[in-house]
Amino acid sequence: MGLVGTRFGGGAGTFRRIDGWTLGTVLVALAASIPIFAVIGLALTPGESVWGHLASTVLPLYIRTTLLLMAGVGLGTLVIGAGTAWLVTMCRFPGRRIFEWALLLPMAIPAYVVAYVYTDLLEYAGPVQGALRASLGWTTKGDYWFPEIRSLGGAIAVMTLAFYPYVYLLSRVAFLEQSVCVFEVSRTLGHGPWRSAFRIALPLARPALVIGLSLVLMETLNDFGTVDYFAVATFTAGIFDVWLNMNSVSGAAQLASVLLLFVLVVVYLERRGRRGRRYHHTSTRYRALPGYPLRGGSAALASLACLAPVVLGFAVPAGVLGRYALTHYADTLEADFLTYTANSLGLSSMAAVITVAVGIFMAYGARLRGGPVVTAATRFASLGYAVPGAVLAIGVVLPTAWLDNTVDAVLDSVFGISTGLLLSGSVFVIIIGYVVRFLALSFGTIEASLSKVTASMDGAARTLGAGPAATLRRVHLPVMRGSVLTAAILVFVDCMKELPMTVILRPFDFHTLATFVHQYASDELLAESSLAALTIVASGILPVVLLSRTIGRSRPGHTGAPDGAGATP
Amino acid sequence: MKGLSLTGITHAYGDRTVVLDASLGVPAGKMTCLLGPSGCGKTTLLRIAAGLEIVQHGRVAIGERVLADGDGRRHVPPEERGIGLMFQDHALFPHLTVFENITFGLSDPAPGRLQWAREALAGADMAGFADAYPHTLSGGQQQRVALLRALAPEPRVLLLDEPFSDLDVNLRLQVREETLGLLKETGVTTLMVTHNPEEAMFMADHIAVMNEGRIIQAGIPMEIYFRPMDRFVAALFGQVNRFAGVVEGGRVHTPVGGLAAPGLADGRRAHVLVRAEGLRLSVAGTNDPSAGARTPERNATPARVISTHLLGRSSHIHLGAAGPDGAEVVLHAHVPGVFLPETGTLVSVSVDERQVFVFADD
Repeated sequence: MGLVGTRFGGGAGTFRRIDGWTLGTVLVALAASIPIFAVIGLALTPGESVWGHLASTVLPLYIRTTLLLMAGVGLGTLVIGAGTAWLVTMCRFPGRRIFEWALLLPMAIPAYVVAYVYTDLLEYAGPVQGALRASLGWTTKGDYWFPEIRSLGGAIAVMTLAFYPYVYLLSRVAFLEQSVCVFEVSRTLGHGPWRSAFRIALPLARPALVIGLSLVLMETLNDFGTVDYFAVATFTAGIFDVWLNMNSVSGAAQLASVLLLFVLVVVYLERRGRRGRRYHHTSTRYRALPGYPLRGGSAALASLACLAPVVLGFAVPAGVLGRYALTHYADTLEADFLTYTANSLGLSSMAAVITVAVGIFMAYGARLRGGPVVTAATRFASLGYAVPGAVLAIGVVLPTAWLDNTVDAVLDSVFGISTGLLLSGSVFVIIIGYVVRFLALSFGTIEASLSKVTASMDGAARTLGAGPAATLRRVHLPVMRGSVLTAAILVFVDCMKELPMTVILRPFDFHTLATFVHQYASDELLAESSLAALTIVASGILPVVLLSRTIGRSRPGHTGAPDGAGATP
Repeated sequence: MKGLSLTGITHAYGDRTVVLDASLGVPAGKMTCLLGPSGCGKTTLLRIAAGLEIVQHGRVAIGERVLADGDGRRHVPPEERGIGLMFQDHALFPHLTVFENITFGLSDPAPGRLQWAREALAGADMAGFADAYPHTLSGGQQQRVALLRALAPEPRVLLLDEPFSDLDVNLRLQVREETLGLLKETGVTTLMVTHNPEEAMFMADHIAVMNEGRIIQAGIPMEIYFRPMDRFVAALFGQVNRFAGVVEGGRVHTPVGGLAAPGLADGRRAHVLVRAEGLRLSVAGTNDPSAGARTPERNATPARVISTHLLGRSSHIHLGAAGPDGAEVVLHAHVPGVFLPETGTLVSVSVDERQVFVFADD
């Protein structure tokens, strides 16, 4: 008939029509990608260049410090995260059930807060060195050696404590998934538990470890509070320096574009890990894990190994902040704590609502018209999570300034009205930054939960008389309700903790809890801002609770009712 | 005719053509079955009818009303077609109760339809399950709810996609009869997709056989079974013995004797298909009609029993017979009841002419 492959080339889509959904999805995705394009565009635009100057002075230092920091934090989180995950999934020792979720607690405390607390504890005037001097009779700094916390090593230690839960979470799931048969097969083939761990379990978990590691490295590149406070010269610190102190936006953008190269490598690692993971899902059947009982010394060592990260990463910082909050809460209140809290809550909830709404729109649009263009657009739009806040801030500032100036110029020439700057320097810019940065969080969560609605459920709703929008309202949203809430909470909490973008984008004299704590801590006033820091930590507990609930459900042999939505295949 | 008609449908996913110039009429008030193996394009055809796929080439209409035409220029969206579709996986909404699922398609629910839904649930022995959630139901119950949900908005045409494939064998027979009863009672025009020939024979007023994207033959079940138009359709209903030969004097010589080749000229190469149940066996010296064995007929062929298998209601026998070149040919025979002669027993094989199909070798 000669029809094959000629007239019917591109009919992959269901309900394929040029309409609002395709257009809307692509437009929204493009809008969310503007900041990333802006940074790349500015870096590629020839102009006033600070390259020569940077390259001869600080660039080599930035590169070396950033690489060392990434290597140190990567190694530290891998050892602690994968090690503790291995212990709690494969071994039986006192406290294992508690450690399973307690190991997530350090996630609740932003790295910069951990940094302030340990500086407070370990600096020369702090209680630890004071106690050492008092008990050992030292009097001056020259009498003894003590590690300097405000250093690259200190930054590595602090970020390791704050970020290892990413590796822990992902490798724990990987160990649970794979443990079913292969591990036992390895044992029946004559390998002992340790040898099996290194030859079977770890290689199988490698994709998950790589994903966890790449998330850690993204957070490391993103961090501003810690490196600024410790005066560690990383790229992110450099961007702030060039922008705020040297007053050169294009210089900052050029630095940012180099930083984007680092990010590209990390994103590539992550994507590769996720691809690899598909093939590593060997079985969905869970069976009771081997559960090697540990006794005596080894049990004590295992408990200690799990206890240490929880105590150092959560209990100590939370305890110190709690004690300060009790003694100094009046100082914090006096410093307009309530306004800052209102600012944080307002910005975070608005950002959460918008981010989730955009996430739902994009995920549903991608599902309705899953063509290559739509898919690519949504993937690109969700790159924001990988881009450090400082870089993204540049990408937000430039287009909004351009928009403001254009609107002003047009209105001025046509109506003779000068609008001034509408968006720039307003809180809306912060919200835009938050939405772009955390869109992936909501998009990913919602996309995953959309898969609970099978394609035939879509079809059933359509043939029963519900249009696309009605189907979203009557079927998808109710089924996804839990995940939508989860996405909103995750975005909300990340906005509460967010520091680098907020510092750059905030209007003059405007503070959130995070910027307030950062400023006070930088002025050696941690105690006076402790209540604010504790508030951030308290909000950070929310996702930990959510995640530990998921852990409880996914535990093999756990007889909790499966999610009702999962009942129909 | 107020039925559903699909005319000249051709459909491709990328470079892969899955439906090729398929035309199909579904008469109003009747049950039509679209029968074919997995991947033959029948589900795609169903989705095109429902409006879940955009027509690339061809036309979909109910009576005179054209629903979709040409290369997607005209496309009535699925929610405006009045065509119900019941999915293979039932696709019940997990967040809605049984009753809410059934009444999902009733916009501005008329009291009459709500009453109908209650009565229908009671009729399906599920009156107590109105407020239950789908994941608490058994497979058979889910199937009933999915069917009632599709029927509730009183669709002009009901499409069923492998509606019984999720169910185990015994339940399937029972649910099949219930479903047929309910559909006959409502008198809805129905198109059902299945890969199970027995199911199609049982349910259908009309059967359309589909293979590799084409509709090969359409007709009433008797026609499909006794007058298959090609080898594929003839072999659809179970195991067949295949022979090749040349027509001589109006007959083809096969290991089970010379078989009439009506309509084929002498000298043509032909394929002969004999259904396994078309071979009649009798053991020399015994005569036990109750076991499905018969007395030898005039043109019976001798054969030797290789192995026997009791299937329950029937027996399957492998036989060795002499082929045209003297080599042994294995025959499959399917006889009702228990018929299990010893290996090596000599039997004589005769042929039920109605189960013999001769096609020219093109």
